[in-house]
Amino acid sequence: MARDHESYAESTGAYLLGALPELEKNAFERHVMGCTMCRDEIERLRPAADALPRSVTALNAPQSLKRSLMDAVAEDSGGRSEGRLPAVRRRLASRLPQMQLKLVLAGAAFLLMLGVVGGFGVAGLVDGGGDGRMLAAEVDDTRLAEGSASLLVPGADEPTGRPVLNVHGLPPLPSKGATDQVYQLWLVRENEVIPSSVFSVSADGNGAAAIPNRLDDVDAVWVTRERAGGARAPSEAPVIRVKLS
Amino acid sequence: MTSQDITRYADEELMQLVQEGDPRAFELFYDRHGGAAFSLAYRMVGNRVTAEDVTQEAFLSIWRSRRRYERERGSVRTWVLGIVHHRTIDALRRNLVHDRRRTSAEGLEEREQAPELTDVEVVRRDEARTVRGALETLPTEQCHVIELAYFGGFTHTEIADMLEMPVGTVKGRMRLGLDKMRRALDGKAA
Repeated sequence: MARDHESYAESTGAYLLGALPELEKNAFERHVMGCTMCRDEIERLRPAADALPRSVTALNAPQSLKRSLMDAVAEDSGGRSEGRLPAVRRRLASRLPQMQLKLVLAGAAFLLMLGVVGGFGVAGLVDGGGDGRMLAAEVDDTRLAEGSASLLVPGADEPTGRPVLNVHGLPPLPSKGATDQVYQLWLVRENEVIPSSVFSVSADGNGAAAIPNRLDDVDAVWVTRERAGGARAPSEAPVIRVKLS
Repeated sequence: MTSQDITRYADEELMQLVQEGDPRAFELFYDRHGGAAFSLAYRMVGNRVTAEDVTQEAFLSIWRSRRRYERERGSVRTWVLGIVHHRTIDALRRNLVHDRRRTSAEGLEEREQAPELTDVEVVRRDEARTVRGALETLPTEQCHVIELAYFGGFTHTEIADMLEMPVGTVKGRMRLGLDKMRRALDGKAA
């Protein structure tokens, strides 16, 4: 029992953060049912984990989401087992063609604008271990006084792996009231600039951002500074670039 | 009961009506928590379409399993955000977000920050700053693993691979970071 407790006790933080793989999580929960110490530790740390989602910048949920949800609830209440899907399909179908056209045009215009932008250092392959790659980023030192970044790209042997941009020593952005800013990632593909994750850095300028997409057909990853919540098109030339092709 | 009446209900009282299957109460319930839920999902997946889908899935699951809410287990908002977090992690791990960002060009006005309309919103913004302040008290390496786990949806083994460190170190940093953050939050509350 003591050995069990020791091996499980160190997982309490990972459990509360949702970072245990499914099998390990199930085993941990079985252990906790019979371990008062672990239960107490979970309850002691839980307020911190519960507070994390409250740190997120508040955004307005789209009105279309509420309409779609309430449609689905009405369908559900009417006994249709597949209730949610028709509402979601309607929502997506109504906006897809128009959105794609807008994004391609915005991306093409911005690429033209960037044809005259310079100021970047040279990037290269930092580490080619395994199938994955660690790519050094180019930081525009004319606009960012300091900082470095690298992109970890999972290999083909990691089909569920996600790329992660790690940054070090970047200038923290304003985070007070209406002037809140975030760093935002963009995926550049042919004539498209596709919005991706937003992230902030700690007081010493370090941070990381996961990119939910694979980067198989992406030419470059950019970072710009945008207002909190992110933007649909970059508002400035990239301050960080990682070339993938 | 008029609609005017239920807008004054506390979350827990409103939840009783939701548990009885009242769609009007559920709509108000969504009005109160939908923004926070969408914001969390968007922070995690980084694109609007997937954030909408995940939020909708989460609220539908709440509607369908509404009788499972137990008042003793914490605030309604914590319960809602916990469900959204789990749903979003599921989506990330199923790679549902693959290649869907190209559909996210609509509704710029809807992605702007929520305006500060009410006292409740002001309190929530203060709360957000307090939590961010608590996160900033952490050593960088602890903050880093917590953000990768909670907002990135990575498992401890993925984080260990990514940062090239033992799994035990990652778990230790998560636990120490949460402990320090809890103490920082306690200090603010005191």
